Amino acid sequence: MDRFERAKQDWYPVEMVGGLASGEQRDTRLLGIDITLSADDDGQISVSDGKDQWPTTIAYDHIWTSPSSDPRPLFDIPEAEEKERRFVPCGVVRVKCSPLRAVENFLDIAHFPFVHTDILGAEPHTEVEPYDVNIDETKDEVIATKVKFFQPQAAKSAGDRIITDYVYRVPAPMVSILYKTCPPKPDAQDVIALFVQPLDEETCDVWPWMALYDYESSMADMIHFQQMIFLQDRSILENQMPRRLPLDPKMEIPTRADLTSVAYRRWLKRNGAIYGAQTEVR
Amino acid sequence: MRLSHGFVRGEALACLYHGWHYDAEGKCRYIPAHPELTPPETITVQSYSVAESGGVLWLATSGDAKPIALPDNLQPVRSITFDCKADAVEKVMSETTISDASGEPLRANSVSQKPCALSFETADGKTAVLVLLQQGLDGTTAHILAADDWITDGLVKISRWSEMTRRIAEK
Repeated sequence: MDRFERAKQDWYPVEMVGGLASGEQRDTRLLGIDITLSADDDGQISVSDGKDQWPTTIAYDHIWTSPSSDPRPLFDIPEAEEKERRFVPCGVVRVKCSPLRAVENFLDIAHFPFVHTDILGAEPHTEVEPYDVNIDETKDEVIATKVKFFQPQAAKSAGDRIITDYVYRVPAPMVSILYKTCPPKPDAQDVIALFVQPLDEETCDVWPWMALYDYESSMADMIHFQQMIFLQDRSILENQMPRRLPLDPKMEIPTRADLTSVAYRRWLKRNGAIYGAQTEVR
Repeated sequence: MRLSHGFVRGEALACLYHGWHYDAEGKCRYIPAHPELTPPETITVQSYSVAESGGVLWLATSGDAKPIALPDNLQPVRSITFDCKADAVEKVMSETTISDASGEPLRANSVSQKPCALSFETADGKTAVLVLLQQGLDGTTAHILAADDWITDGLVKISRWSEMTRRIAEK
């Protein structure tokens, strides 16, 4: 199976809107290909691999590109239209891990008390209650619902410990979006997404993005909170073995808490989305 | 995620990532995400026999750990890595009399061949011990210990001397 075949059909984030000043250029990499981003005098960004111009689109405060001249449609986040939310692009974090590992870790709640101790989880509240995982066949995405977890400080805006409800979506192999209880507005949900730029199969740039109901915290504080969490994840991600995400079920032992991960791996396999994956048993 | 990143909690080694507890036999005994669950026997990691001698932990990759008998009164000085084979380090140690900065010679006596341990005695009768372990094809780790009658100045001397040895052995 061609490792690139599916990967090259998708859109990937390469920069934040406004991240390049007019006339500025930046070299980066996507799927192992060297590319250059250039902002023209109006700040309009173009992407080139030195030979061809790549398509670009703007969505969710980021510039997206694709090696394909006819990429699949970009996934939808309807909440991005809700003007009363605050939209928070959090910058970029370089991680020496498979892009698929970055997504999978984002889907995992069982590590909260151990990796994000006293923030997203705390002992003895370690139990993961049963939840539902499905494939939405119309949208072709993984969706986990009725996920609940005890959290000492669920968000920058959370004053006290709460039981947080989560919904997770994986609308593309290297994107994950979560919806979680919004502490100041219990009937609404905050949205946090990870947009992953695969530099190669074992290195990625991760662009976290949030759409929150938080009118109190400063932009810097909200970004700091998210970066603190993600840097804790990075120390895990850079030490995971094997480096690529194993898709053979014989490679790792899941428990009931890992159902989202199991569904994600199956869905990747079914879609031939194997860039960053280890497909054979070693 | 390697268990070496984890923590000892009570009588178990707890994984850093999800807090799974492993006992001395390598069997998983507790999965925090499912506190009521008795982990299946199949969740077992490789375990190794370990023993202690002379303030050094000895591990056997198969069978029981059989440490070299070392004196009890040793204190750790430092561990140092060499970019050469253990044989080369041993040769420099045992065939060359290396002087430290003050010109005081240190002479090696073999304590054990495999694994290689050497002891040294200074002119005034103080001993130091060095255990050499080959790491891969071209690397060696040395764990250096000294009797507890050495004081700081002497320990610094031993440390400097090990670096001089390294410069010669790596040539």
